[in-house]
Amino acid sequence: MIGQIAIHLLFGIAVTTTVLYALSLSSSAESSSRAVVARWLFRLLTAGLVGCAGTLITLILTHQFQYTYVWNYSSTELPTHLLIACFYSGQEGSFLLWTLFVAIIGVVLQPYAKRHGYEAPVMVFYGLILSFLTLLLVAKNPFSFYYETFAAKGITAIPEEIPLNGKGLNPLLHNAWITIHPPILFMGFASMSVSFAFAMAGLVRKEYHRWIDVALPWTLFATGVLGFGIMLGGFWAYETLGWGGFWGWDPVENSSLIPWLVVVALVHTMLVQKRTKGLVKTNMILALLGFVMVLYSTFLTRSGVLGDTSVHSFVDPGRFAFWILLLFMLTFVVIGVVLVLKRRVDMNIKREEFDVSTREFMLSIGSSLIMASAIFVTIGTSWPVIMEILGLPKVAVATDFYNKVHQVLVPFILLVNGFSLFMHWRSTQRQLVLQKLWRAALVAAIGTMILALFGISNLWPLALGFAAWFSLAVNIQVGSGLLKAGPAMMGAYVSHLGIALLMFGVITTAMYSETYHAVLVHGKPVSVGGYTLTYLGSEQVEKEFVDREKYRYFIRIENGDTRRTVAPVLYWSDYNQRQSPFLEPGIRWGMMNDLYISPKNLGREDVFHETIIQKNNTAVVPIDSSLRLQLNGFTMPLEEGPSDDGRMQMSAVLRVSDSSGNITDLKARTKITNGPNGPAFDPEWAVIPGTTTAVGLISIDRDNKDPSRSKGTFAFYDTTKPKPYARQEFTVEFSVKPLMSLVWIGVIAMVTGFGFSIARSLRMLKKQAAVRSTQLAPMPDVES
Amino acid sequence: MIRKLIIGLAIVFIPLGIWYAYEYGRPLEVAFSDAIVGATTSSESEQAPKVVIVARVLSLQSDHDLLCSDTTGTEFRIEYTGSPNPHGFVSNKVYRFLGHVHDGAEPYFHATQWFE
Repeated sequence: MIGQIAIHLLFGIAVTTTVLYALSLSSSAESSSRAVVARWLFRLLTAGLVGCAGTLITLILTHQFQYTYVWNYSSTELPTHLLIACFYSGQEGSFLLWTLFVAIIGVVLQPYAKRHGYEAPVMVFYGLILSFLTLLLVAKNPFSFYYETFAAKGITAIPEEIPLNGKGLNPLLHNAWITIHPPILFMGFASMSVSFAFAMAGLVRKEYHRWIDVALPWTLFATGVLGFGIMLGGFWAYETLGWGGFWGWDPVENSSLIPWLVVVALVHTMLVQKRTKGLVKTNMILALLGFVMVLYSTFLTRSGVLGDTSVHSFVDPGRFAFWILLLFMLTFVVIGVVLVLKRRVDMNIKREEFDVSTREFMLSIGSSLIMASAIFVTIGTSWPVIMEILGLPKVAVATDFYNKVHQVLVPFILLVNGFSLFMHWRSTQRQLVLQKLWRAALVAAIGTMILALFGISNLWPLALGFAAWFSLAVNIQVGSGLLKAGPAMMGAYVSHLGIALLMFGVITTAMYSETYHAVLVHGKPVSVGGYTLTYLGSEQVEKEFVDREKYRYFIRIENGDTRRTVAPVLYWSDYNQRQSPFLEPGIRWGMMNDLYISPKNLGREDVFHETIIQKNNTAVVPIDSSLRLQLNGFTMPLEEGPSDDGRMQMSAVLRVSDSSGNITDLKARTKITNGPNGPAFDPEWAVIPGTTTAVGLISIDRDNKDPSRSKGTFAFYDTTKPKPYARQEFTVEFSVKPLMSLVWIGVIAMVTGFGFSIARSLRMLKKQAAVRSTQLAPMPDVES
Repeated sequence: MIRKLIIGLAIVFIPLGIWYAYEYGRPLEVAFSDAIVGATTSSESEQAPKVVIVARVLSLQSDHDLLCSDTTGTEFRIEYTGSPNPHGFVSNKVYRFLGHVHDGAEPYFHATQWFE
């Protein structure tokens, strides 16, 4: 109850803070009493959110299942790190995490903005964001009691009857990545609010240039963190989900990619404005768009509008939360658009044309191409919603749509990146560009020829390869010239280098990966794609979970003298009523290639020559074609009585006829054990009279709607030979993925580059502030 | 110049992108047997492609379990898990169902949307 009241109180505090900051806008001095109160209220709000988060974690850790959220997402079997992850595994908790991060960033932002004379105008917008987020928490309160939730659904639950255990966490989320990927992603989302707040503050203050300097480190931070979060998600998918890729253009993936693309474009256009004072309106619009796209993506993935068009599940948040999400998004669109339109004439001051042979021109083109990518991904992701509005079948676009669009865009982006680094700000001598260009062009041409020699003949990978080699060569060429200046100067080059490496990884894995299907019989080596795979056996893990019997299947991979063992996982769980298996791949990581084993199926060797017969139908006995077997029906367990060991028994009533027309009736009995994977059958082998053929009933497929269509599966063996032993069979998909490591190295380089750039940007800001303080220069733009 | 260039490219390429999305976001209208072929030829890691089947309802176990026939007369089962039909499905009436095939010994169509 206290938690629910606290959430309502926090909403009130957020609104009050915003109002007080808005009122302090009108006063000349920001140190007015209203701003002081607002400042303390903001800190109180943050402390309250920390308290709420701490309380929720405590409730989860101490298994307080009287709370719907705790009951829905956690259980007593979970280890501590997964219990902590339960905090943000549902909508309510993830909204709380997002709100918490926005507030914590706000505590750092507040003195920063104050130092740069932006506290009130920035914190008004920031407070408004927090007001909406806390309102969302009111709608999706993580502190609701389970009996309240049931009551809302028309089910009566007795408050005193607290569930003994929770429903547990989705087994797909049972890995270490859940403890790191969502928090980083939400930190990225939260930090996207800052650039927006600064841009809006700039519009309020009519300071169209100074906000760029102040907001740039935050924009770089948001870009780096969100980019890292997105790729951690890709790594998680690759390492855990077992479908073999790291990016599937799923709406959930796209929903974080779109704001990231916008903010990447924004970083580049901010640099242009910083150096040339151009692209003023563009930056305002991109800062607005970046934040609005975070809200739009949240709306798409949290409102339930995408329905079943994704591999992720989308929980309908309820009408109240749906309208808050919509209102949240529309409010900021309206505020941003009104402010931009109101100031559009002001912002046109000193607009100048960029010459083609300048860095600003190239960066503008590059940003436009990145924005084109964002627009196309938005169209694709929104497609089911557009179709629903038009009353047409609500279908997600095929992933080929995204692939084909980016086959065109990405080579151009990489080429423009290379060209932009050869250009100077304001003007560049074309002769100078040509002098530098030929080396990079030569490297790109040779690199592309090497790719062609290795068998790539399609236009797209060759074009992408050329562009990636070109970008790589230019970044190394220009970046190495700045090595002496220290790593802070290297940020952009390291990031671009990372992107080029990432593209090489994409090309090599897309074009050179080889995939094979293999059926691995226990202990029997199988040659697959130049490697020898041997299934060595299995080991049960995570025995504490009662919803599953989870096994690791050990597979040895040999190539010459090299031997490695990987352990993919395949299991069924009650969590999804055992409708489909949960898979985890086994990966042998390597610099040159990854060996990726994705489990597909588990069974037993067909050593008994099985055949399926429908009731009243006849089949030829597989090991003796002179015999025909007719299934007349099944006896019921009551007729058979229990077996000696107490198991339930059933028999198939069979009629056997041979080629001479002799007919014999017999029963094939089986003992049945009901287990979590369905019934298991233990046949009693019946020898067909006058033959050496034994028959066993190994499964019954009962048709409850039409019992006459029920079927039995029968196994046979020749009794003159030793009874065969069916070994376990493990069916896998084995892939060799060359240079996959480049994808991850590229991402790490890209994020590291952002780190260098943030450091440089902060250092420059400090220098500017020092100059200002010594010169006692006025703070606002000197535009007029 | 850059302003005109970007606006010009946006005017050309955004409608082109929408048309392209339309091409890739339009489910094919197929017979049940074609849907099975589509399901068996798609990769194992992917769900079978979403398609539309024009089907006549032959009998109903419930609004979620329908026995239907497609335009070629093939009988097949539809498991419907989408938004409920406010009027309920009616025997001998033709509907368009969107969904995908569940392949296996007894394939069936898992529909998530319906249209008149």
